[in-house]
Amino acid sequence: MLVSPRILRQAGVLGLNERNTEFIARLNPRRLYPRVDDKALTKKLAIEAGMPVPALYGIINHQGEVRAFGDIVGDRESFVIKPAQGSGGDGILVVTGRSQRRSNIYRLASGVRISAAEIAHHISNIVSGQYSLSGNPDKALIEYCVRFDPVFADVSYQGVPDIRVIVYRGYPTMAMVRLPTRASDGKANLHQGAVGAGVDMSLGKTLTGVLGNDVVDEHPDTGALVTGLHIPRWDFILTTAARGFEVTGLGYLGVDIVIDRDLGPMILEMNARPGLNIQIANCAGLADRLACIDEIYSDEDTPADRARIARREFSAARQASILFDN
Amino acid sequence: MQVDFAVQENHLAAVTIAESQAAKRGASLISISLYRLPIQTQAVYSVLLMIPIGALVMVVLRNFVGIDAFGTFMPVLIALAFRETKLFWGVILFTMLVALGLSIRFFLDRLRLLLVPRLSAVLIVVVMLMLVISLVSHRLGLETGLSVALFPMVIIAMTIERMSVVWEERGAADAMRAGLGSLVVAVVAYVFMGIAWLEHLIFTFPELLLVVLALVVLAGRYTGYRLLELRRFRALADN
Repeated sequence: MLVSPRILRQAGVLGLNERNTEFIARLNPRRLYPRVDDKALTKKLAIEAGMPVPALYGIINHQGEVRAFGDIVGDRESFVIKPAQGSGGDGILVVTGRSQRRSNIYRLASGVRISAAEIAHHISNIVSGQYSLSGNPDKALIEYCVRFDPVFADVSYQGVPDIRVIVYRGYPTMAMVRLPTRASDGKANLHQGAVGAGVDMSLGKTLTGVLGNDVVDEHPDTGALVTGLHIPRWDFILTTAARGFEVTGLGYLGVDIVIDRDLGPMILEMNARPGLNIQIANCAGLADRLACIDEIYSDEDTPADRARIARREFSAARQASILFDN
Repeated sequence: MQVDFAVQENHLAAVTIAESQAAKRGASLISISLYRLPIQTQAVYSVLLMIPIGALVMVVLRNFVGIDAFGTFMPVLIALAFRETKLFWGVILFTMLVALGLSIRFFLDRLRLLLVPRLSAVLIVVVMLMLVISLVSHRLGLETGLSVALFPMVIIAMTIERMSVVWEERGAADAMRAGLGSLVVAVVAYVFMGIAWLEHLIFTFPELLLVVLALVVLAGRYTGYRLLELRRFRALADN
């Protein structure tokens, strides 16, 4: 059941303690956290940097504005409500439709109906800070609901799949596609039951998946293979992720990107404490790749250069050959 | 006229000798001994000085083992309450309180309350539950039930709130796991905080807390794997 720490060390696995002290504490200065912890601010910074993000319909800043929800939404059929300072996908409400007859009844991604009053209560919970990292009062963002690219249609159960890229000192290091499942209630967070599929950095093709802490190659609900999917516009995705470093200043960063079928890849959010299950999805440890970047780091590399270097250094074939040589 | 007596059992023998010897030699350091404090204050400190031990247990279980728990020091405070209730009843009362509180919290959810009023409502419910448990157990002749009053109610109210949010967002399994984790940490902390010779040692030589501090600082620089990670990442060991 337990694996020897020496074997994990050899596989280059990064543990939580090491991530926290050696990478997050060293490379992510506390004062920069608001840039990623406050999604309203992240969105503003990303827009200023000319990066694509889902359009913001409106922000509800305090209780008094909760009633403005109806005006913000207007007669839109679909939208997403999320806490500005939420963590791990908590508190996100994905509305994908409305009742034909009664416009104050909405339909969630899960198919469940929800009344405007229930949505208002949810927003009021968000605003009072139920989902915020600090427990302090929060803001609720109402934004465009991404219609995901058909490439993931067979391997998603409701919800929106996204691509998580770990960016170390500006270099894309490891990536995975996060696929919602019935258990994850349409959310793309692994600890909520979503499937993560590792990605070959050089080709943008998915490898095996992880569900919980186990390796899988099929989606648990649809049964379709999660392996071998070709992610469109991979180069653009890597470059966008790499630019997340310039936008946030965080040296150890998780960038979450969604691919809209009409609008292409967009930055959904960024994370100063990205999780470690990505290693299981990729069947590869992060520590080796981080060390590799430390060796080839150059502060003259542009985001496009860094994306290219990532494609060169971290291909699955190359990793395999290194293992074979040893 | 009325005379009040406060009595606490103290094992002073060696210390008394040390004191008398110090007095002979005219050493002044002995005058800042904990044993010079009023008895009631001594009783308080004999408990307070064990909290760092609980914190050390917490550090070990979280950063070396990797157990999930609610709140940083909640389990230590629960362990403190266990000292009065004793372990068996402590675990039963704690579980009962959290379970009842949770079910009422889920009912409150239907009322769609704002966050702070809801937290306050849970707190009031917790206080009332404690009262009911004390009354019922007294009626049944179980005096241990009375000691439920020593549970840190604000901490329990916060735990119930956090647990219900985790329950809703990540499912019952996650909530139960973290709840159980908190209980395990509390029990282990209780066991260590109840070691009599350790308590005596720290009370007599409070400077030992510097050793505890050093251990905690040392643990803060531990970058190795956590015990549960050896299981979590087992899939990576195959290739």
